[in-house]
Amino acid sequence: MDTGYLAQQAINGVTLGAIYGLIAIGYTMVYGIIGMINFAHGEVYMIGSFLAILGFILSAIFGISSAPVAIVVVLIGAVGFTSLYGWAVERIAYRPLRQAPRLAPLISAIGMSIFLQNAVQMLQGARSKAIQPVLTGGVTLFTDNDFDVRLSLIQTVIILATFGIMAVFTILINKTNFGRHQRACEQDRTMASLLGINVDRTISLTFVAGAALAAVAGVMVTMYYGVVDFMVGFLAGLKAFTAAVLGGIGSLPGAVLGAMIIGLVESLWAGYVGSAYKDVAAFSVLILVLVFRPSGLLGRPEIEKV
Amino acid sequence: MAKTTTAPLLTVTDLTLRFGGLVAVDHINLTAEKGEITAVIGPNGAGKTTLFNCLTGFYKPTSGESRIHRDGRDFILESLPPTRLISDAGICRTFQNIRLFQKMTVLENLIIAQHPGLMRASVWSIAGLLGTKKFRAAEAAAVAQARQWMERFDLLAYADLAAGNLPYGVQRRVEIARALCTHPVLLCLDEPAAGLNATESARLNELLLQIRRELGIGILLIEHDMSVVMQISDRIFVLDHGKVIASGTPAEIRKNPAVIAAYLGVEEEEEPAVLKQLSKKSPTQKATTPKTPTKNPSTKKVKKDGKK
Amino acid sequence: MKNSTQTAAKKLSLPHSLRLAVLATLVAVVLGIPMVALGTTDQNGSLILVQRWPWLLWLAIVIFVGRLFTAELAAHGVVDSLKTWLSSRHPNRPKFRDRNPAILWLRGKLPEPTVTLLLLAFLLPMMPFTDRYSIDLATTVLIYVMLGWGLNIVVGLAGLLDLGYVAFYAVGAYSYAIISQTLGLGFWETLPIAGLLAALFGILLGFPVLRLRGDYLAIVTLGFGEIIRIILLNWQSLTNGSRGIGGIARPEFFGLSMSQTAGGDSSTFVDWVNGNLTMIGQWFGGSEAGLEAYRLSYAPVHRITFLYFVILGLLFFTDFLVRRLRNLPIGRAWEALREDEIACRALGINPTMVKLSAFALGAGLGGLAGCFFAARQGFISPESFTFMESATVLAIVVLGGMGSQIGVVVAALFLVLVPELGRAFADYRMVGFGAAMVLIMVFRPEGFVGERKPSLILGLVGKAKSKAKTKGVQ
Repeated sequence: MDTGYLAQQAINGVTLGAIYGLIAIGYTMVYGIIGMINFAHGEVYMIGSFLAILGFILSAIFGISSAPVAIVVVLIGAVGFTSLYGWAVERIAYRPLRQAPRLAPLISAIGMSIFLQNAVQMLQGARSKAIQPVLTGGVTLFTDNDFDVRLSLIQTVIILATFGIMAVFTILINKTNFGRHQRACEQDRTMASLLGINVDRTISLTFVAGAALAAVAGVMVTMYYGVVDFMVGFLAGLKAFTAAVLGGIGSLPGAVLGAMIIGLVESLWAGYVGSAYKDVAAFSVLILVLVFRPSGLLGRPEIEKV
Repeated sequence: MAKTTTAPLLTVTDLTLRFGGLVAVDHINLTAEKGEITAVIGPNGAGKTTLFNCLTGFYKPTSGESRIHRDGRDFILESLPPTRLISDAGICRTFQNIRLFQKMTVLENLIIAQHPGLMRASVWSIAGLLGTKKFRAAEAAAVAQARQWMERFDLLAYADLAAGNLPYGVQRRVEIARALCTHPVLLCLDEPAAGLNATESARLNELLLQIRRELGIGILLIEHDMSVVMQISDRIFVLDHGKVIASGTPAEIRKNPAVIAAYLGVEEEEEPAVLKQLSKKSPTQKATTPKTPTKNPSTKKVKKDGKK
Repeated sequence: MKNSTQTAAKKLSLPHSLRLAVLATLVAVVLGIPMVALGTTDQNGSLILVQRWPWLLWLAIVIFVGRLFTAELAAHGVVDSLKTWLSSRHPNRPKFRDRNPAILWLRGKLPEPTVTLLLLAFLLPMMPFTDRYSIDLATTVLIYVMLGWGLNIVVGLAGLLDLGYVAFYAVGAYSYAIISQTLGLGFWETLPIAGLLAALFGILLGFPVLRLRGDYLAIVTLGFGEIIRIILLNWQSLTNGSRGIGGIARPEFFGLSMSQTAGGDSSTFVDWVNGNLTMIGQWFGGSEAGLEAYRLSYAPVHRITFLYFVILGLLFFTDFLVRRLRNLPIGRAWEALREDEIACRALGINPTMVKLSAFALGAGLGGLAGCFFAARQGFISPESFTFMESATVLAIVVLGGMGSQIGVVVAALFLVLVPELGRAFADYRMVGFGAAMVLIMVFRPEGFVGERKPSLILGLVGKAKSKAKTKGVQ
């Protein structure tokens, strides 16, 4: 087996995993705090990608020629707007359903997802959008049997940015007031509200945080692949959710670990077996892991309360 | 152990359950007899419910065993699959936080308790779909039994109402009736009086005594409400920190200093040392038993002592 | 005192509503800037910016007026009373249908509501206003009713969240397509096989995963649905990949082909009718010439009507089966499991077997629906079996009211007809569809039919049926 080829696939896998990880955190946090699958999260990520496209075009119009500056501006803009989308989704579709039967928010989430997808299709067009690569270049790490193992600049940026953001985020959750409130609400919402925590606000902020990370993922993907359409949210969301469950839903490190595994499995499978069944491979890993570890890799095993 | 001619209905030997470093149940030995009410008491966190969970197949004990002696046969509970605990060993339980099928009616709740038998009668639902005579008879019998328990537990008026909407006290009765519909030889009740008011709790006493008298089955009871425990139990086991610290008749338990120190409160004639200990313990005890504020003799007495 | 607070609320409500409306408009405008006012379009291979500020203005106006209106309604208690009126969770509200003597009388005379509806549906093709299009549309509705009833067992009764139900639908459809083309079996022979195959898939999936907790099960089933679709897409030799399978044989009517020409030694339905017309005419003593008026000539609407009756027949069967099972021990066990799995275990019920039976039966019904779908379309491809389909069926179950048979019918009508009627609005209809799903859930989270019918009633057991009417259904 070629070590060079393997290394190249691994690099691609980690990049993919980093992106999935960013989206997965949104799923896992929302699940942790209100116990529901936020089906519209993939759509929020899709909106983030569209905002990135728009942002890069706008920055070209405004004559921002330096790539790093453009990326930072686009990131800030996309994160800002997408966060507001995340907030609005929660406010409209989920908050009125706090006391509702378990499946009601799920259906309204699916409805929200259909709405956003089709609204974007209607407003932005059904055809996929492509932009010129923003960052080019990269380094050849090593050569193995005439095979160049390359780490492109954009991959470096994605991986570094992802891990940087995750580090900041971990600190946010562990050290700040919001983080403490968030974890308190996760454990016991009623008790948290009795202790004077504004539960609604905390939940809103959780959605905002998740959407912000999804926007980062959207910008990264737009820079990486350069193509976006209104349907990208579904599959990316599905993969990211799979990653969150694989890692143990509710656990932040778990979401990242799961995302890395899904990214690697996909990329290695595509590299060695063929891209046709790469999604099947990813889902099969999930099913296998859940059969043997029903609460995911890093999830707290649930002690049955009788 | 009083009747030595036959083995006791339930014998628990050296039962131990560890959760990581915590020993929730620590080498417990106890017995329960047919036709007797055996109470398990102890402060919160003493391992009572955990013991129940071991007996009813929800937890696998780390070591030790419990066996049911029924019709001359012994069943080791740990080696029975959960579905056969009821059919073979005849052990059925209720839950501390009532677990009824909330949206279903009381009647349905009682019929589900007879599910394994009815399922057999419906032959993978085929006989049921065809509505054979045999199946209809089985169903009628199940309904008749449910009706009989509803009559005895004063539930007939609620038969067709959703169980989740009923008052708390009624739900407790439904849960006990449901357990009885499985024809147990040992009925395990986890705090049946919790949340009941004084009248309801007195009524429960009567019911339990009646069950014991008429069915001759064993009842294993976890209870905080001393008015229930002391009045109706034939035998009491006191648990603390996962261990049995005392056992005996209510009268004996009432006099046992270790028990008093650990749990009950103080009697007038006890030594001052216990008194001191108790005054330290009383606030925690009050805090840990919020569900039974109405009739807890120990807290009452402590208050009295405090005034002295 | 109540009066004074009310007037106070009225006095204060307008500024408050205005503030809400301004806030909502502000949010909408900010959200709309990048998505509504700005856009991109492809020109000569590169993207250029488009600006549509008037659109944003319109959006702002709509949002402002709309929010002001709803806020005013809410301030005057209209929304609350609407919610109360819509919500069946308010036990104090005497139900109109329980008071109205005409409805009570009718209810005593009519069979089960689902049966009544199916009987009405039976009459549809005979109505004067019915045309080919409406029968076709009704057939689509009925397919979704079938799927909804199947999934209702899994989600509504057993409480297992299945997001990949479309997988079993696909298995049924492809089973029929492949079996009929390779083994040459007809629709009626393949129907049970397709159902059983789908049920088998249900068991295969269910066995390892049914012990998973609710939402884990959801994602695994979702993954399974995607796996099946990807396999269908890529297993070229068996499924012909994305090009799909065409030319699937249509169902026959007791060995008579419903098409224009019959293959092999069978004859067509039209030929059979015409061939026997003389004989029938002679029985009634009619003349040859008079019979000419009744002579059939082939028309596609015959086949479409026939297909409609086939799915209707399947529905009668399904309705009977599910309603009957629900009142049997197995059905009660499903519901008990949904209510409390731990209590089930404490009563000696084996949760795995109960779940598996619900899963397998739901899958089997999905397979039957799939088989019919393939036979009706004549062409299937993986595109028909996407997650959207699972989501729609799940929405039917939840919108209808979990566990309710009749609710599924109502929701299926709604979810199929609304986008269909909105066809004129083309692109907008799916936007409206998504928004409607959100709104219905917000206003009526328990679905159209919120109350549950007990599986047996003490007063009715072994007693005369007359008691049923006086006592009614609680």
